[in-house]
Amino acid sequence: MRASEGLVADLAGAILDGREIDWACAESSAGVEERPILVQLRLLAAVADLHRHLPDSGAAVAQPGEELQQWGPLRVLERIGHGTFGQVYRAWDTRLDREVALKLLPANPPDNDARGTSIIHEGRLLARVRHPNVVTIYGAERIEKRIGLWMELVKGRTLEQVLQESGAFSPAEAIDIGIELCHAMSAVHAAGLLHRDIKAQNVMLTGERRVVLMDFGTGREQDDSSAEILAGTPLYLAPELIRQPDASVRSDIYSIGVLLYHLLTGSYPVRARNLRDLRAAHERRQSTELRAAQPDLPPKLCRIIERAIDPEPARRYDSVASLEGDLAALKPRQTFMAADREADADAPHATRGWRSKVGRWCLLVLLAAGSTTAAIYLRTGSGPNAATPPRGAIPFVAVLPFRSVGPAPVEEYLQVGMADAVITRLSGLKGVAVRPTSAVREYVAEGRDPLAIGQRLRADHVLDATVQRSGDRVRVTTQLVEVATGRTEWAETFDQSFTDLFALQDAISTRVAGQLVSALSAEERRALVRRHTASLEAYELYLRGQFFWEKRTEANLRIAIGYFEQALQRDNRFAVAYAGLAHCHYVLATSLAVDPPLKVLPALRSAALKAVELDDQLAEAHTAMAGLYSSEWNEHGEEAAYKRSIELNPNYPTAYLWYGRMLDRRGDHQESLAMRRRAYELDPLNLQISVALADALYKTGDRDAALNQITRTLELDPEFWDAHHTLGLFHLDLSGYADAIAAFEKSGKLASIAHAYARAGDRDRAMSMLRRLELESTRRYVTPLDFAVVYAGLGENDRAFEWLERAFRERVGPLRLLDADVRYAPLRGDAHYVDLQRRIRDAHLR
Amino acid sequence: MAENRADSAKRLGSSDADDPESTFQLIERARAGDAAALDVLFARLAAPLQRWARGRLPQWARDLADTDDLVQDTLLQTFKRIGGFEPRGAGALQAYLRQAVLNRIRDELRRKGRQPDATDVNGIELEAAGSPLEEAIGREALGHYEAALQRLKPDERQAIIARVELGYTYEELAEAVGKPTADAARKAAQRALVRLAEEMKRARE
Repeated sequence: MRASEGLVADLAGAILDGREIDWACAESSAGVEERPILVQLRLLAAVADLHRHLPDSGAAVAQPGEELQQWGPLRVLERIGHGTFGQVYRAWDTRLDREVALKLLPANPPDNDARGTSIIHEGRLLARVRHPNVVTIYGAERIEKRIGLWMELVKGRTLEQVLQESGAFSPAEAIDIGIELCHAMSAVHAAGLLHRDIKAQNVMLTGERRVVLMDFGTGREQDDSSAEILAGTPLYLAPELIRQPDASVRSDIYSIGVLLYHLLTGSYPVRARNLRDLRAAHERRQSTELRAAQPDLPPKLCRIIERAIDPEPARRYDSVASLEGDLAALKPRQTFMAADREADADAPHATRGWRSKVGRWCLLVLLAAGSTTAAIYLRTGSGPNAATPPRGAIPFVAVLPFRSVGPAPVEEYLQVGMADAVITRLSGLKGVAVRPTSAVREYVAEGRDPLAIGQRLRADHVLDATVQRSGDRVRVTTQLVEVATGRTEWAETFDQSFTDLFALQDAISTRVAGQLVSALSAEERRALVRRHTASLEAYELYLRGQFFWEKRTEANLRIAIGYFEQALQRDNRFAVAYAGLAHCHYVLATSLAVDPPLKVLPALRSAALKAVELDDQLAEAHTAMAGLYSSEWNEHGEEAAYKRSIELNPNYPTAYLWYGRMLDRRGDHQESLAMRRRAYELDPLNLQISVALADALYKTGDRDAALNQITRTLELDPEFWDAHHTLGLFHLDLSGYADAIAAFEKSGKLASIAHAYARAGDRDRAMSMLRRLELESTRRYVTPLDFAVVYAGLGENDRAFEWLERAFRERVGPLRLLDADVRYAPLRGDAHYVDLQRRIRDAHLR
Repeated sequence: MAENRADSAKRLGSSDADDPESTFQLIERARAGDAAALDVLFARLAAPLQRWARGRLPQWARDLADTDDLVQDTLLQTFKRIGGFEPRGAGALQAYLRQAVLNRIRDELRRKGRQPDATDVNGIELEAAGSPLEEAIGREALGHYEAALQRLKPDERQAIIARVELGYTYEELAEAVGKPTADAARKAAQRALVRLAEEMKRARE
């Protein structure tokens, strides 16, 4: 007994200290009586280990210096996911200038060496697989003691998420997904690799309807030696693997079969509560036939899947190609989304959930299915107050990112950058309207359908180009397609030296303009070949800055500022880069309210003045000036600057968006609506513009159209904070406090949540949030308006006015929305309000 | 481990020379209505619990901001009643807060209506969609662990929570559970862990 106590106590000590324990050795030296205790200690070791490797707290408590900023060649931008395996970040590969996803194992993984080495090894093998349906692995390395794997950043939802949210897939959907998965697995198997962990959580659907196979099994199956400790989802495991870990092509095929079974039924062929039961169920051949689980499935499809999941490996398909062949033979002539479209007519409600869940993907494919459907969809729910007025005679053109072809890939920013250059040049033309870069940026993917994209963007013409680089030479092949007919209107190949990229852009722009506009004025001709900088390096840096600017979040704007500044170091006469810099400062201090306005003012002023001094003909320079005037509370100057910007470039959406906000502030809601409609027409996929339009519709009394517009925005991005926030404001205005609270909570805006709780009578909760806001303000800048909003909700008008006065002193821009913002409504009867309102007005007219 | 200790010492701020005030003293002052002490206490206790909560929330319910807010909110609710808290030391308060957060998490999961049913035929899949801790040791084992923890004596329970779950250094542990030295604290935790393993074993018999 003594010896056993010694062993048990030693193990307990080792667990507490976090030391490595050789459990096999411990078990062999333990007596029969101690073994049950050892089993429990082993569980406790797992508990302790898990707690040691939990991710640190979020921004609220993290020390700024501790945030991981760089890992090898990658600049870490933000954390996008985390799990027991480690963290996933969005990162920027500084060597290759592209956005990537980075998976980092914890700093001290428990079995660092063995597992780490196997992950690096697998990652390097996987990097050899290049297939559109397989996530592209860029590299795997151990740097500064941390093991990381970096890969293509895939944006979308996992099949499991779609299943959980929208229910089981239809047979046609499952067949299509199955075929694409087979394509993916053919590539993996052809490279001599196995996946080992095919499951619904590991397959993503992207915005372009691409099926992408993600995470590969990285030796985790070796962990399940203990019946207690389960890792992964063993329900997808072929029965032979449960007996011994000996993965094969046929065990991958089994997993594909289980995945398809799961998509169709939401369940699994063999079910159990733990590995022991699972093993027993397999031994008893206890499985639920697919047809029993879902009786109305096509019998042929059931037979294919049953064959894939046959418990006897020899009776399964011998290759994914043969599985794919059988699935493809079942494929109806229509694609599954076309089938979905038919259902749409009968049961609009049923498809609605599906569509809103899958969002962009579904919409895009719907459009691909036919232009009539596109037209129907885009008008759905808009009624007589359609958000988009009928288009005038001016044709719209969409310039897609130049697709990289050939052996030497062209970086994504350059693909977008080439398109951006042409867009910029064309946007000076009066006779044609160009979709902005932000609207086309997402279509970089291979295998895109220019016509479908054209329809989605409501463009009349699409410029589809490829770019191929070979040493110093660059070849661009362009074609201009008429969306209505699919006809190629013009095609041409350009060869140029890479160092003369600008000449190339001039040539393409001039040719496209010539195709679209019959007579160009002399001024327009000049605009087509106008160059913003002579430095290719500065230009590239500027393009990177634009890339981040368009994302409009705090972190991205700060990165954008860095790039604009670097661009200006290369060329200090680069007007549009100064404008970009000014735009970033303006948004950080106003819409995002994360920087104190007075602190930002000097940087904003010098950048905006420099931009307009260098190029008075640049629309962006004038919106930058408008931002400066707005920050100085000079409304007269602000309005003149917007008008000038619009005059110079009638197709620049930002000018309309910001001008609309100024008009809203002034109470001119009808004009504001007109501006926002125009912005939306120019850039229908821009989330901020879409929400601004909803706001204007609401304020002009069209509540239904406003709600439709919010719904539409959330279909583009279900998590866009401002859409939820604006919806919350609508509810607040109608005294629907519970709905307002729900919407504000989704927006994450603490002051508004607290305000709504206070208005609903839950003072305690509002106070506790106020306290949190106070705590937060010790760590970062919190706009005084946030406090004013909470106190206004609490009915503590004096405190609210104290904060509003402070906002007035600090020239906080959004204070001027006092009349337009429903959160200040409780203050409106107060004499102080009238006085403040008067002083705000006077400050403007000074 | 050295790294973890340094981190946790920084988080707790207890052994810094420029911040010599013990958590116990802070609790005393907070009970007497000192708002500044409450803030320090809050800052000191929130971070480890926020980190801890990530192990208890399933992926689908876990959003970095949400988790932090949930913990902050629970702490604030608890602190409102700190005047009535029996001053048995930092370990007791920490264990109390941990339970409050755990209860709140359970409420949240119930509220979201996706708490998987233990008897569900898809047991394994649902387990896989559980919290990291559930994923690591399984739902059933986690249940045994929690139940056994509750059957321990308060000081044993506090030692396990502080050391195993919240990552206290042995020095911090000594302060929290009122032991004279780090070594004595380690020994106490060691005994508590053996007791816990025995309790868990008993539940399985």
